[in-house]
Amino acid sequence: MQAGTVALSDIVYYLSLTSLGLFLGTVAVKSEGGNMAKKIGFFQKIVSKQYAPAGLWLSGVAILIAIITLIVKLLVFIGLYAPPDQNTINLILWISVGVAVVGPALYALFDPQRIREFLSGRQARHGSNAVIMLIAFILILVVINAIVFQNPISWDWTEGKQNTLAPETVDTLKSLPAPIHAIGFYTSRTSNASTLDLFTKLKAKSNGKFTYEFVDPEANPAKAQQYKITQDGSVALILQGRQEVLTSPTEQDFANAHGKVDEPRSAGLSIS
Amino acid sequence: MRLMADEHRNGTLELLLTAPIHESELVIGKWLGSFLFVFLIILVTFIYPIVLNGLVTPGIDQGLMMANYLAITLVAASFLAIGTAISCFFNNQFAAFFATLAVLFFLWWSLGGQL
Repeated sequence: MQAGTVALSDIVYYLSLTSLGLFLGTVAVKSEGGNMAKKIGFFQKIVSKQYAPAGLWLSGVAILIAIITLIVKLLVFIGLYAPPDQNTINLILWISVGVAVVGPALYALFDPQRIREFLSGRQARHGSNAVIMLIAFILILVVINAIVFQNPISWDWTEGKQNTLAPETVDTLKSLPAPIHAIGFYTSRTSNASTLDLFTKLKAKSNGKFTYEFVDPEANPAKAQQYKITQDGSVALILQGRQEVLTSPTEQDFANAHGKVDEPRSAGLSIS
Repeated sequence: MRLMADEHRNGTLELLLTAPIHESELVIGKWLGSFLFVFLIILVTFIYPIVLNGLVTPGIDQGLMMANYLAITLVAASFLAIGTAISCFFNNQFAAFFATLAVLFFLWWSLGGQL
């Protein structure tokens, strides 16, 4: 997000993170998990060579990492975030899931009696309630965030309204004769943050006539060849079969190219 | 890191839980205490933009500054909430500290941060 712009989605995201932390803390205090930490005495057990709880802690950390990774993947899926390296995120997810599975197995191996007691006791009942509550709470937060991210609202607090599209640009976008589609060609080594920000602003003001996508030209060379892309960080604009490639997609460049692909109406975009 | 871990370690959590309050009130109270402390520190730094505003003409961009203050306050609130939650799972403050650090590093890295 541009400096000086306050986005509702960002506020909701951080408030969600805050409420999730507080909810997780409440669940931990309420459940036996809180007391377990005291009773087990993690470090004391390590010193006394009883390694069984280490498997559970390892698994707990792995589950936490897996949940965070899944949230990141969800953000990627709904197009709100483009990760620097998708493969690393997948690798982390698989490793954390693997460790999460191996952890309890290690615990069961070292201390099978406790597992039997746990599965047959009230701890299992209350623990599952806590897990269900936690999942429900996370789902509610994800839905709220998805709605807010899909309907972006932001306020430009800068004095000169530096992060706001010019009114002429907004008018031209709204009066486009047909939908315009932009494809950003970015490898994982190049940041698309500024282009994504520009596209988000254009999409928000276009009444659904502006759409965009990002393509990694290394992962999809055929598409890059189709649009004659020769430089990393290029953007192809497509309107009714015509296309224009931008190599430095600032708002000014975008406005000029926009006028070219929209040639019959010669509708250039103005910049404030 | 000591918010809840020390209560576990000292055995005072049971005493706290006998008070006529809900568990969520306890956790929110702990978080609020730490948040207000950090917020006070953030407020103290407000002196710099005020001084800077008086030194330059025509003054600094107030909107930009306020947006940044809002951002840092929200980030502090969320990081403290994560720290409070992780502290609830540990009885050792250093373990809580390093676990919080690991989670915050992971969050920062996964959202595009680079080492």
